[in-house]
Amino acid sequence: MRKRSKELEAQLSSVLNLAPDILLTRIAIRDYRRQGHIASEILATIIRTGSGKHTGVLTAAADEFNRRMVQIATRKWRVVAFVPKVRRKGNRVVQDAVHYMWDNLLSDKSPLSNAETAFIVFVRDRFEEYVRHLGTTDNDMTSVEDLGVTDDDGKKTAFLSTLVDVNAATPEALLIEKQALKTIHQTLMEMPKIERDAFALRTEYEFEWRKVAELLHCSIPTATAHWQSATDKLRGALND
Amino acid sequence: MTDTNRDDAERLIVKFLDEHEQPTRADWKQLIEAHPEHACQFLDAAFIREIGDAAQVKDEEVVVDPLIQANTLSYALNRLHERGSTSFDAAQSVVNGVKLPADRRKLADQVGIGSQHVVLLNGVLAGRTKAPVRVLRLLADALDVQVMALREVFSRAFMSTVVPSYKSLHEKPRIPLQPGSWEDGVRDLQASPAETARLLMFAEEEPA
Repeated sequence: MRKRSKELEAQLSSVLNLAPDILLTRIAIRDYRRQGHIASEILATIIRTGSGKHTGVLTAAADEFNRRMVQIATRKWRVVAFVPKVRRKGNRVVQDAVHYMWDNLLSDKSPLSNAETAFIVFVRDRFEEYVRHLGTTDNDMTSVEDLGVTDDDGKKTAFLSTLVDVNAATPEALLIEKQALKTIHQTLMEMPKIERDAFALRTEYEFEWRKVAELLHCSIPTATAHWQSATDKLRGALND
Repeated sequence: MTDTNRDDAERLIVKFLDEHEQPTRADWKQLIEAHPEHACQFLDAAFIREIGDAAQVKDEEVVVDPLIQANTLSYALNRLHERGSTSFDAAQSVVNGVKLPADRRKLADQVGIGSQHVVLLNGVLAGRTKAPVRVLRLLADALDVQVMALREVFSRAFMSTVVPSYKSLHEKPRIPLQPGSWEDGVRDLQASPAETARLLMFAEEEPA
């Protein structure tokens, strides 16, 4: 069962004591580092309980809560903006995703919403749900550790060894790793879903070929062929 | 994939992510093994989670589109107006259910006020007396409702109190603009000093 943290419970108690005009001032504090800042989880509680409907507190809480959701959704949108169907919708995705979040928050009949206990998790999960509903996932998941390259002499080298040591503190190393991951994700995005799924099931989750074929509803040779095609594309992209 | 299948898969994914804040590969694999019919949807969900985690954007202020901000806020306020609040409605319904004197005495005992001071509880339930946070929490626990919703119930009860007609020849009418304090409510009981002190302690700050 969901529970608030001790810190949130303490803040809730302090908010219960506040007069509406003081609460309005506190809601307007946007910088979370400033004293008096109201946590998003508490704003969610104010909204879900309809608190301060006649004093302006409810409207102010909704305004600030909405602003925070739009901010995070905008940030998340930028991360997935290269996904074709997301790209086609442009920043409309942000608006629609936030609408979805509001619908979810206001229709939730549970005693305590996820938004009241873990706001960031709530926004992340709802955004991901929205993107899934868009049917944007032509992608597959892969593991960096499982990728590798084969040299001309047949020697296999693990993918990570081809990169600069990612534990190095240099910005350049981190940038290279980030670029490689981006390449992997984009390459996976562009290939047919069946190839991506074959790659993930075999390479990421290490299912036996029989199981991979069963999950993909095809024969083992076909599953193997899909996997090989995916691997070749990834290797090609990384070697470019 | 039928709509039903999609809904089933979505339900499972939501439940899974609810239970696993940072799902590992093993977690996803377990999910696939448990529900192989939805493997493809699970793979998609895992991928979305991965690209989100892999491309962490710094925690910096993001400039939001003011039109999006305005549209989403308008949407939210309309929905709030349409749907109301389930928490508030639930709390209101429960408070309305505590009508009989016997029920109120029992509740007064439950929260520690004492059935002999049910008048004090009556004032709280009607919104005439402002309950301290400690009493609010005790009432919320006893009634199994959200504490903030309960406070809102009392607040609206006070605001909807009928203002009696008044005819005075000698002085102006005194209409309270806000609920009376807990202290005033306790002192009006004219209880013994020990009982008064005990009840006043409810208004003391809870330890952090």
